[in-house]
Amino acid sequence: MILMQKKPVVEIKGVSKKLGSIQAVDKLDMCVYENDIYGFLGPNGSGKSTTIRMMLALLSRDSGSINIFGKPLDKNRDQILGNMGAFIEKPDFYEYLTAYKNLELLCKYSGVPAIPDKINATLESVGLLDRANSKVKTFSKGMKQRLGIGQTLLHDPDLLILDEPTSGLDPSGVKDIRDLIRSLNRDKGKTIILSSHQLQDIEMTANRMCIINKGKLIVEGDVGELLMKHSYFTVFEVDQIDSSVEVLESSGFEIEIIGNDRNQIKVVCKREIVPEINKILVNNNIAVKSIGTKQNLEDYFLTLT
Amino acid sequence: MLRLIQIELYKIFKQKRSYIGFAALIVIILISQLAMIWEGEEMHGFITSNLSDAFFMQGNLVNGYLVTYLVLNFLWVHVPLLIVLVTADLISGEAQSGTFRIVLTRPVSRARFITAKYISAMVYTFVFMVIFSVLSLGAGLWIFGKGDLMVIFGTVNIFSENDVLWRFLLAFGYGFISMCTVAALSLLLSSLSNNSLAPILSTMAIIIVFTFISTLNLGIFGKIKPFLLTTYLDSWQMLFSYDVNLGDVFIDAFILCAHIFIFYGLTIFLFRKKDILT
Repeated sequence: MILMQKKPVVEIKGVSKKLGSIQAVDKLDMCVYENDIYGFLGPNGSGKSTTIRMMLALLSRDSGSINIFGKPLDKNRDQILGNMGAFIEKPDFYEYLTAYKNLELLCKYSGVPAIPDKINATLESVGLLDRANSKVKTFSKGMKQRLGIGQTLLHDPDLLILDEPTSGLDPSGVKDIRDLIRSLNRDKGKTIILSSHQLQDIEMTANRMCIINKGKLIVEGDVGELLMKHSYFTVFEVDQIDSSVEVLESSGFEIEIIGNDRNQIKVVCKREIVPEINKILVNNNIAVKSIGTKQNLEDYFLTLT
Repeated sequence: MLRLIQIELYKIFKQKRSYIGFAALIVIILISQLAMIWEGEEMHGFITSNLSDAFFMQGNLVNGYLVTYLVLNFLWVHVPLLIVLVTADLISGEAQSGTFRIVLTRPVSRARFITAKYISAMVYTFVFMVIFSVLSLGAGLWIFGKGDLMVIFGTVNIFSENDVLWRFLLAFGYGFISMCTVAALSLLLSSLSNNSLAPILSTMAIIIVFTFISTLNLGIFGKIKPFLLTTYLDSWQMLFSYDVNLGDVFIDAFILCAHIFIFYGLTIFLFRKKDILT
């Protein structure tokens, strides 16, 4: 059997950036491999956008290194950017120009021929072909969002960085974009970094992910493995909250009291441990009224941040 | 580079605001010329009333050359503002509208991006000056005809009509360099700002304050006058002195060109380090 080692596309090592008095990114390490859909998670102000801007050479770094396609970003900026497509935060275009003209100009900026068929195909792929000749200022937020994704594909880059690509889209638009991301990865072999607050986007599309908070890496790894390992928590509804806290804490569990009536205990644990916790409570004459086990990325994300 | 310049020019001339300056210029010049049609003789008579006691004046003195000379003097304060309305927005406008994010993530170096902006601003200024010269001189000659030019620049200078056109062509050429210097200053300030209004206002504030200092003949300001760019902006007027020293005019033009290159270099230096946060 031949083991193929995956090639790193983006390697971030010890990157820090201070914006004013705020440490936006703090000694961040990150690695994105070829053909990954890499989920990039973190609450507002966690440093996601700052990190993405540093990857795109829009922001300087205070320390650390960024290598993309195996080359240092600083010395190979133009070459690297020529093979990257980026959509950052919100789609802004030359509003006084049409969608078609915006894409034509961006082709020229990218140094690729502005072939009408290619531009029209791009517009079609994001459902905007019928509005090709409308000025962008007449577009809704969702349409601009789709055009924003379209412009990342114009020069057929190997690496896409999509920051909140489904923000502002209706449910069918969200589904279309998720399908597009998956097909770009599966059919065209694109490596994609997907930053999103819609945690479902990550859960449904990404194979690897990281979570950052206050500029620091909290966790990085395979989405499936991380969910299996960490993302369970169980809510026990009990009749004696104080006793339950005492008993479970003395047994070494990390707990939190939740619920409007403060009658529930949240315990972060694997699914296999739930019967054991139930047994401990029952053995201490605590009535367990209900048990609910949750597993999804959103819960995991909230647990960690 | 040519491709980038084409893109920048396309963007400039696709925006309605770029034509506001042209429209204002056309209106001001036409109003000035209409005023000269109605009041020109009277105004000229008033200005030269003291001279008529000593000199006998004959011929078409309110002619296209005189009107152009007056329009040049009237407009020298307004033209920089009309040009800066567009050039000061070229970089900061992209920051304000967020388009930096899609343009600067393309394989275009920041130095090339700024160079294209500078060249486009110069082209816009050139077009502006061509319209200015054609409207003021061309239309002036067409409406008022040719004649000798009488100007008061230090002393009374009267130039025969055959000795005037080259002075105007050089004056417009010098004016182009002056306006390019103002445009370069506005681009430097534009690169430091994330909104459109601040560089327009700050450029005009600098021009007004420097002009004020340049025109004050006080000893304390005399020492700093050579270091103010406004000292050299109106050196085209030297072309209308009787014994014009072209060497002095070219030295002043060279000093303005040096300003342009310093502003350009500073813009690239600062913009390469600029964090794009908009």
